[in-house]
Amino acid sequence: MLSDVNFSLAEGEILGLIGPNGAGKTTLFNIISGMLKPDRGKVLFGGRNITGKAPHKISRMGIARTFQIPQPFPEMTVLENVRAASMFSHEGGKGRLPKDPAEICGLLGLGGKKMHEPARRLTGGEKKRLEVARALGTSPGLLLLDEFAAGLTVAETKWASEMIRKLSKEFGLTLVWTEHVMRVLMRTVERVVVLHHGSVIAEGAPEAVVKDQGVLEAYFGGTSA
Amino acid sequence: MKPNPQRLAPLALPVAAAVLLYVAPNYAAGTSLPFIILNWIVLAESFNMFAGLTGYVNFGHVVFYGVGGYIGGLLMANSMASPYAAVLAGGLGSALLALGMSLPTTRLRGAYFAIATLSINEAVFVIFDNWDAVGSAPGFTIPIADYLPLQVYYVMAIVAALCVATMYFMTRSKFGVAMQAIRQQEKTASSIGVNAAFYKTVALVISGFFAGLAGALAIWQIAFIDPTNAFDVRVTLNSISMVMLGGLRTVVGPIIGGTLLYGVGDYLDRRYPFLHLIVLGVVIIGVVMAMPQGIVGASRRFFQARRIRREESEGDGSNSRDLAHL
Repeated sequence: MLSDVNFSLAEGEILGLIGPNGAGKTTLFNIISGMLKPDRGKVLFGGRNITGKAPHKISRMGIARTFQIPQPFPEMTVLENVRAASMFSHEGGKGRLPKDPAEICGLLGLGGKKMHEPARRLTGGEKKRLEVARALGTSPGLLLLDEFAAGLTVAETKWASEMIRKLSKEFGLTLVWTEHVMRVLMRTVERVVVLHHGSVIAEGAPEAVVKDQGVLEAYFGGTSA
Repeated sequence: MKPNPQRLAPLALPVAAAVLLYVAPNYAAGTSLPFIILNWIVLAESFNMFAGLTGYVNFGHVVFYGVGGYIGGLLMANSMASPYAAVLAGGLGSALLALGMSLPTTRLRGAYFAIATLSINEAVFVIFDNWDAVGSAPGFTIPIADYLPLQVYYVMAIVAALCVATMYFMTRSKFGVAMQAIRQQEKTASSIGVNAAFYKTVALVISGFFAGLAGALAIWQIAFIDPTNAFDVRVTLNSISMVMLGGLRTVVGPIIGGTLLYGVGDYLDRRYPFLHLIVLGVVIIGVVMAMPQGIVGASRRFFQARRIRREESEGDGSNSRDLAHL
């Protein structure tokens, strides 16, 4: 359950959304992306009220998301997954993101022969990349990344961090990123919102948030060294 | 300008099919057998349009067939429309019913959808079985003046061709991509902008339209209808068997499945009247176990494997796949 969650995003910003298990991070993503309808409150995107709209409508407005557990179209190839996404995006595409599905696959390190492999045959890390590639296929203005770095190797995590920065700086994409791999998130994002029991308990620059007493208590049940 | 044979190749199959449909009555000792086979092909293909493409098994498919039959039959029996208009009305009536059915059912998933559609089948049967205005349990006959078997057969052939062509375009368009996405991962499909409820509804309406046409055409030929036959769940089960045998989600699968299952069934019925259902059951189980993706799916796998082996032996490591449906 979420209550008293209020924050805004600047265009091109990378926002980190953190909190212990059950804090409401994925629930918030589900509400923003239309998969859950809130009882109260509003979600505004580019000045438009998108509260309670169907997921496909929200996607067409330019909000894309990834899933914590990758959910590709398993029988389609990597390229077909991204191409399918690009087919149904109507209102997106205002940013500088590449429009060509093959180029998007290449951007995410899924180019060449890998593009023609069925999604079900990909490794866990590759499926995570495909999640992002498919989301980018919709030409979004805002990308919601749900635990993108979870389960990745150290090298992959470093790559993920660089990719997220690139998406923001080079392509002007706005990102909200939830993550449990705190070190990489804190290095990448510009601002952090901390959720606990469905409420925002802290907000600010990463270096300030890690020292916040309320955040330390939420994570460790008390003070930390 | 010299015609390019490669560009004309795709036309070869439809032209061959048209010639075959035209001459079939001359070689099948009349129109009855080819009519029934075509009727089953339309039923199986229309079942495939929804169940095959979306992955939702509609156990109420026969409802469209029965309602189409009743609408067409009533219009013909009361001389309210020409048989052509009555058949079209049967299709449109079933399409409308499918639209109504889609409102509550396309929001259900998996087994819940299957149970709901089976329940609708039972409910519709009970309504028609007790509805005096449409003949209730005994049904009614249709006195059709100037009935020409060849005329009914050619209308059936045109409907079958349109049904197969519709399935072909459904699988090769943006619509087909949406259906693939819904079947493989509905939540993800919604997240990329696919309006799942809309696409499922459209597929069910088109499926209902063709099944309704098949029902109305059957009544035009048989000149009799009653609820027991019009809403017999075995019609749905046969459609499922035909699609499974030929190849789910393929365009050609229901044609092969429908022809084989009815043709083999008819042959066995004449040859072994007391054993034919057992023999047919064993044949179906055997084929489905040996080729779970049906005859078309198994053939496609065989040719794909052969092509990949050939490409690898030629030094081209590309394993690109052709997802196009046969």
